[in-house]
Amino acid sequence: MSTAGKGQPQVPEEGQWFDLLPAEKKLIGWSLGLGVVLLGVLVWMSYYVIPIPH
Amino acid sequence: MSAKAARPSLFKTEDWWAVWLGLFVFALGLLKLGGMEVIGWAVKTNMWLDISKALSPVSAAYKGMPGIVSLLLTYLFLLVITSIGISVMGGNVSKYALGFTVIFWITYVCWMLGSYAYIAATPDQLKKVGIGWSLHLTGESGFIIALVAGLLLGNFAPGFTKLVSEAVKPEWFIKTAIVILGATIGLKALQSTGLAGQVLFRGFCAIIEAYLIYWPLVYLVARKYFKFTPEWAAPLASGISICGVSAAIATGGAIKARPIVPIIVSSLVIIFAVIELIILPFAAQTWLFHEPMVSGAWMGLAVKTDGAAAASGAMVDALIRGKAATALGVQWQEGWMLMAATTVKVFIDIFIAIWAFILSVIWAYKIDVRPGERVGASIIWERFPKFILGYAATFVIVLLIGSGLSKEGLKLLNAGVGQADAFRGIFFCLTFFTIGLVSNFKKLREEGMGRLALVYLICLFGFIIWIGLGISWVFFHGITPPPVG
Repeated sequence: MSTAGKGQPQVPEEGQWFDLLPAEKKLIGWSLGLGVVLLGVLVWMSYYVIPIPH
Repeated sequence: MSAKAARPSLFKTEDWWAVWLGLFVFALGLLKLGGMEVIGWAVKTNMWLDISKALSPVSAAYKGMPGIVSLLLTYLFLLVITSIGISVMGGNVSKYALGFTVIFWITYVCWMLGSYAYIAATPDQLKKVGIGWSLHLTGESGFIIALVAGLLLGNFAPGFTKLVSEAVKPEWFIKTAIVILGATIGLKALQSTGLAGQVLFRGFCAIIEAYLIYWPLVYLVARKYFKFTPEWAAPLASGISICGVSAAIATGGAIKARPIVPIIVSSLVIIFAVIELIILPFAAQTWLFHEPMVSGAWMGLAVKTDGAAAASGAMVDALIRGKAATALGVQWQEGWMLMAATTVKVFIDIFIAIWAFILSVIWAYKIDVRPGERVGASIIWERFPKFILGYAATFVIVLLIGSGLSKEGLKLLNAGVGQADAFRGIFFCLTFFTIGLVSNFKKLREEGMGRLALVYLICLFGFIIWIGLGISWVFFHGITPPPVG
């Protein structure tokens, strides 16, 4: 767990790169999609449901 | 089975000990509610021109105590509580005590240097301090000085690093700090409930952006175009898109990255936050002085550490009010732009624990799982970073206690949490010094530190600040602070 206490400090070592997994693609897609849809909903709400007195 | 092996994991890992230490400090601070000043002697670093005024006790009840005594007590307190943790975890206490002592005092000197007025004062503070110029880096520059000192010692004095190695525990320090941070965020959230519903609503919108839009974009860029593995890409995405250090550490824990990964990302976060702090408030003053609340919210969305975001909020508040007075002939009330910045930042911070949980589930079931392997529900618990529980606990406890308090009680809660928060700052600074110690320039270059910095630069200045500006504009344009009088 610790990065210390073993004499020599650890350094980052990257594993071998692999292309995006289907689960990662889904995470990116769902996250972005949900974000854009919710953004649209919130913009609509900000103008029509909780408007700020400009 | 040996006694050591039989020790329950609740007292065996740094992850859990971060929870215990954080909760202990937090609980001591809470005693203020009962009128007890248990940790009011903790040291606070002030912005200074005269070094004799750099240190003071955090509580006014200890006003007469010299700053150096306060610092000495703080050192002894931290030495004792962390040594207990080391002892129970089975470490070498005497070696730890030696290492911690050296690290603590160097770190504190760095922090004090960072609070020197000519380095730290932001434009809105210059008049108050009585100086004509400064580097505008805020007290957080102490973190950078600590990082640089650690890097120099770690790379050019390997004998020194070896001497203190038992106490070089950046991950433990930062996790403990994050547990205490939960209380501070809880307090801010509590204070936000008195704000207008519109601002709270817009704070919620900030979450949508930071978590659902920024995160996948940065992750995609890091994975697909810069060829980082998920272990690096996820903490990097959280560090750039959510709230810097805390989010990177929480994500690293959630996906079981090696400890060094989020630590390295954190060092990039703190450096880039300072760059943003130097550029963005002045850009806002030049081009957005007629949209004060857009500017404030933009600082909260774009600047990636709590301290730097609040400082940039304060800077735009001062800069834009000054410019509006001459260019527009209007004097706006102080503090509204700062409020917009801190509100969106608080909302972003609150959801770090939830995001860490979501990522730990996805990684356990979908990304780290081998083909054909069945993953039990217990694996979620096993993988979940436990210090996040401490963060959530302090946050919720402050909300619960605070919601039932009178105005006077809230003042006491504020003071108690503030006392605990003094230790958070120290743990943060200790983290950056020790990050420096464990970072080897040559190896970092070989392993892709340059690429990490490039991803950060491209994402931050390529789309994060611009999307943040767009969102701020959509939700805050046309709103102005009330005029003075």
